[in-house]
Amino acid sequence: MGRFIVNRVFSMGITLLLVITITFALMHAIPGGPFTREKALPPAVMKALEAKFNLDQPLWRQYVDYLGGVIKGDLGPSFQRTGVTVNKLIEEGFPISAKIGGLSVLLVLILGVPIGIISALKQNKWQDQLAMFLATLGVTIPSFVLGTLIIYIFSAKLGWLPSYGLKSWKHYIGPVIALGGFSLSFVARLTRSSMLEVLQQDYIRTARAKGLSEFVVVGKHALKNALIPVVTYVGPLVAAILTGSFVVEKIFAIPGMGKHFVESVGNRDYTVLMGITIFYAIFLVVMVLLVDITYGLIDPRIKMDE
Amino acid sequence: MRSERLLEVKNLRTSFFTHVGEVRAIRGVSFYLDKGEAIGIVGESGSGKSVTSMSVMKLLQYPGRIVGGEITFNGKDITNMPEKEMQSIRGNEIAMIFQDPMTSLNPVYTIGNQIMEAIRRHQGLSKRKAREKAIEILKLVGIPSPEKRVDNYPHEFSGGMRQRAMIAMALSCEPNLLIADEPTTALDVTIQAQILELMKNLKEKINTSIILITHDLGVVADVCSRILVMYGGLIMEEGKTEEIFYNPKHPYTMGLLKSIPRLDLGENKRLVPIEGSPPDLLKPPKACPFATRCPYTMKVCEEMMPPYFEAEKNHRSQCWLLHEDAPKIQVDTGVKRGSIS
Repeated sequence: MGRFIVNRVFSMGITLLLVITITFALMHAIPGGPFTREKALPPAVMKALEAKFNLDQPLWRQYVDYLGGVIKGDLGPSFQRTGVTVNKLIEEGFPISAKIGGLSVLLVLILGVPIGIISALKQNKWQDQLAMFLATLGVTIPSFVLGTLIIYIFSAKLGWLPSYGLKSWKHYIGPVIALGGFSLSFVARLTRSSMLEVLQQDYIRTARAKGLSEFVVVGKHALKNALIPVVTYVGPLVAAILTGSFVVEKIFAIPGMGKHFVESVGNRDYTVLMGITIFYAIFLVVMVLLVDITYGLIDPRIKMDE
Repeated sequence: MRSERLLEVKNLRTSFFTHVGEVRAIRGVSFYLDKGEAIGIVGESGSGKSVTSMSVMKLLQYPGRIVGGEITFNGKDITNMPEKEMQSIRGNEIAMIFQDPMTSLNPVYTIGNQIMEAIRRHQGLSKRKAREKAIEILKLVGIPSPEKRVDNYPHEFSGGMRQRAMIAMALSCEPNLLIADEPTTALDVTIQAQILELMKNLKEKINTSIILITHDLGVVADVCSRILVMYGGLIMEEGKTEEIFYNPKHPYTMGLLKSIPRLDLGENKRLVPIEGSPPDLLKPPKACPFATRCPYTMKVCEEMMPPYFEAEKNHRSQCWLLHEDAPKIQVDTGVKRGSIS
């Protein structure tokens, strides 16, 4: 187990290096730069700005310098916001995104898995049909439509929920549902189909033949086997959802991280773009590692020593 | 000394209500089992053997349902017993082992955990006591170093060992009745013999009755004292093992006997198959279901279902050939007297 994690951390380092290199190369391959404007800046100003942010150096030099900074944990200054560092942007934005994201993940797990189980147990009965109807809607409605609908119905028409900001718990309801809606529906469907497959297995018949109650048969024997595909999906989901969603944050006017990410691409804010990509990549590889460790805990046939 | 009845099944009918219609898997089956007795149910795939056992366990999967008849176990009518009560019988008084030990154990729990589960459920033992008992029973079924093996997962066991573990699980609560549904089919031949030997020994040790379901007549010859031959959802012939082997009365039984591979025939002799295929139980024939495949079919066979004719005491067969007006047939199935023990 220990060796497995050491090996994985090492290969995670390589993955991150590749992510940094490729993003760096792609970023510089996009035409235009951080200081390209519709009305061209005077050459002297341009030169001064480029000198200030090291952009006058050869590309390899910039790459090495940047990498050196990343290793020290310094993601550099934002090119577009004077006096703001990328570290500061993440420090401010991430907790907000993570709070909404974390609540969404909880919603997905607390509702999605039980809905899937109940649907499987009540296969083709009205409970199942209702749940799967809603879940199909959930996976087909994009988050911006869902978010807009929530604001239109619950904020504008009924006045139950506030429409922007994060001042009270009520402010969280809309964004959490809009952010988690798709995954909730997806997890419910995934759990259902996985559960249905497991319930057909011979060992479920064995468990019933032992005289175990249906609760134990489902909760102990079926569930643990049925959760493996769900864990596979939820791991990367956590990384994606916690690092913020541009769309949902935009609709509900939430100052999270998602906004910075998308804007940095548009205005060529090189350091912000790189910084958030690296942050997300680290998050993702850690989650994938956690998923693999969880596999080992659920299914003893998966060995982690090799 | 008259032996005590353990199980009595009367006119059992079980159907599966599929979207194309009612599949009548069992169409009126009656048999009994005494305490300490072992009987065999033989027949080809789809004859209703497994459905009979699942009906007795009351473990029929949707859309299967018992539509008629009566099952009496230990003097209690369990036909309409509520599921909660049935659960305290399953695994405790009636236990079951299945065909494929590779898939019948839950891969994510240890062997010990799965054995202890039944013990704790029915005997309310503490975790430590249940574990001791699990080790004891693993030893009984011949698992080497059981105190270590108890913490293994199923994938760390071989096929034969898994079937031993299944038997251990089934016998852990010392059931009155053990239903073994093709317990050796998925195992290779040397392991088959070991498993049968084990079942025979354990039957003596804990005095359990056995219903052995198989399509392999060689398997029942060894273990069972009586045999039921099933075909098309009906019991075609029933009798003592020797009677069925040496003096079969139903052409289907004769066909089965002729199709057993035998050592004494030499290499060049072909096995004799039963031509044709079993009836479609979605539209079961009104008359004898075997009539279309039977070499001795008479006119009456295609028109009316024969009643049971008593050939000898405790040997009955559902065939018109036993009627006093029917032509007498002489059949050599090739099974020599004294060839089964």
